Amino acid sequence: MKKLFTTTALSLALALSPVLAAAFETGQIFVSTERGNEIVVLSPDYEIVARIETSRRPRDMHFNADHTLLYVACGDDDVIDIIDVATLEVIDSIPTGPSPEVFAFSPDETQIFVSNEEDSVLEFIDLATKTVTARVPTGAEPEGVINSLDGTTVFVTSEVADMVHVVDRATARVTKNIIVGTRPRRFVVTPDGAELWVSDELSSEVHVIDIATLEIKEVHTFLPPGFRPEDVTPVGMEVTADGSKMLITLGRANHLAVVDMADRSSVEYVLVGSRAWAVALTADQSTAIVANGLSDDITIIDMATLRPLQSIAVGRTPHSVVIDD
Amino acid sequence: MRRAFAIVVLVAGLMPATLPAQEAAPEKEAVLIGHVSLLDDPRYVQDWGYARLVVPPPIRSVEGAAMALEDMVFVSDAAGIAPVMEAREAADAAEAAAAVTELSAAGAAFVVLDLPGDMVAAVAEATGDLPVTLINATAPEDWLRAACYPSMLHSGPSDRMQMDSFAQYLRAMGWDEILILVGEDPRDAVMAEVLQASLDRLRLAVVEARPFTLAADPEAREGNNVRLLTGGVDYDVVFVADTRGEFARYVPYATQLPRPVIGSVGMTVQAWHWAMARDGATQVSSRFDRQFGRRMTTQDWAAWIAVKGIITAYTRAPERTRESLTGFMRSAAMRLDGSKGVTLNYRTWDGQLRMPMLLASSEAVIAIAPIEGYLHATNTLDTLGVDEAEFVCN
Repeated sequence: MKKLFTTTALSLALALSPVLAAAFETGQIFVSTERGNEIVVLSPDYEIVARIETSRRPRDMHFNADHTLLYVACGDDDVIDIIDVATLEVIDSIPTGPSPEVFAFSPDETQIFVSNEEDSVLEFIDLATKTVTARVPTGAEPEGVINSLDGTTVFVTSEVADMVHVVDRATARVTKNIIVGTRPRRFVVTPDGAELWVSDELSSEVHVIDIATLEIKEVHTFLPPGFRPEDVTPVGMEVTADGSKMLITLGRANHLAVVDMADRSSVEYVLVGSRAWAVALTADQSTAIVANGLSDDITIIDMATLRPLQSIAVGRTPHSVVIDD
Repeated sequence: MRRAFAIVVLVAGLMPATLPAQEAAPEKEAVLIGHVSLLDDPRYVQDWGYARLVVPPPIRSVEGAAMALEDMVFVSDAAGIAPVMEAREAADAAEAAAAVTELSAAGAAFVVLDLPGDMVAAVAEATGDLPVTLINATAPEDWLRAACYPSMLHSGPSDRMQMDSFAQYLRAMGWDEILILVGEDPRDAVMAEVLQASLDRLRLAVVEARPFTLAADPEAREGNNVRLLTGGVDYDVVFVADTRGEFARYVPYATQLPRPVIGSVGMTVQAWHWAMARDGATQVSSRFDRQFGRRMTTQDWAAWIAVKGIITAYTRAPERTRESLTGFMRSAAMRLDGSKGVTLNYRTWDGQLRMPMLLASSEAVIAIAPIEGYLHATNTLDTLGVDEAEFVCN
């Protein structure tokens, strides 16, 4: 979880110190490109300012709590690279099992939980020692990984087994399997910690799991105008900080769905690029950025009007987007 | 002929280790799945090249079926079923029918067949009264679909699906003048005939269909010399219908006009290709390669998806009767993931699995059919193969 820097003293210090500010809240946008083997860095006004060469096939990315380091899972070299956000260079890497795809930090930032899609394992990695402390067998092709907000539970999807494995963090054991739709991909936990949203790419659904009971409480489907249900392949998700809107990329349907969380039957659709996957929000919630895997670009969306503003070519097969703000 | 199948034993042996920690496991329902293949299947002979050159990759579809069992361990466990596969090899149609009969008697509701088309038909005729659904994984003949056996599904692509894929690609590329070279094997003529129907549907023109022969005598030079065979006319592309492949492999780079060669060589149409690198396909291929030390083929995929579909049905169908299971498999409710980017299910009219097809060279997937832009009233996958409106049961 990201800390919020709210003291005026710190804000003032940041405003006055461009050197220090480089490591904090630069507003820079980081896009991993699976086939480009690089992280493309864009300024807040969407100019490409750097291309960081990484290990092969960079995918999921997360900042550490104070945003000094960016971690990126590199699927074809079996490592998580660590990038210094100030210098925009890879400074270290953590070895993982084969083909790391998606990972999550424990809330206390002592552990990384990473899905290894080639050998069907959820790995627990101790961050201080960079050693694997547990390997939890999963169904084939594990992908999405996320913590419960209290940090006691890790959830991981298996794309082939069509289920969410509920893993107890303390014992590193699967405590429950929840059958969801076809090819479950990614997760979001609502800001109140009550709901786990799961995108089911091939059954065109999103399952909502009640985290307290671990039962499915809702199943959502989406259909932008002019598309057929089978075109809708939901993958990436993001929720606004106030929990009022859920953003879901619809893959081959080339749209972003925006669900009104108060009236969940109310959905708006925003046209984006080809095979929309990852989505991220700026901290002020004014802008959403969607990575389009087949058109090699990102789409900038104004959240007030829900209109796409522009698309920017970034590199080969954009996978994930994170924003340093 | 009974065969102890090492992979199945291995899968069964792995199960306890990969099971998640749970409260005392309840009793699981045993689900027997049969697999029947032909001993020394002539379709899979590898060293058919002169001087016993090994040309095509090895094919053992039973290994695809075995991988599906392992892939689905967590699903089976969650559904409270314990699937086991029993694989039989038969020397002829009578033995294959006997194997199906025995598997049915042992409780198998589904048997996957990896047999040539005429044997599939013979087995279906001989076992039609038994409570068993046959899934034809590897015989592509359209007449098998049109035979409308009530208890048969087809998990591998039909000839027509393959030829429709070529036709869509040719139309999209603007290669609309086609020279066809046809061999002497009866299957070559079928291939050319089905291609003609596919080309007709998209208004593509056959410049000429010319028979070729492997005989090298000068009198037969019009049929054995590739430059003569491909000379005297203009065309955009050469299509070689050569099931055996011994002639086809000498055609690329040898044509009178510098034109691409497709069909049995060059660009081929497959249900699966090792170089497919989207939609999770690489993970499926690398699991297969790790387990069996070879690249996954169309036939392996067809057996894999057949078994995956059976287990999916046991998990999600309203009831576990054979009628309910097959009804589910032939409905839009089944959203089977074949790692080709869209969900799959069996067509109601002919029991054929809908699927995208891969147009591939030896080292890359060049295009995926349905080609973008081909639309259909209900499901774009139904632009490949005989559609409901034109389908007639014989």
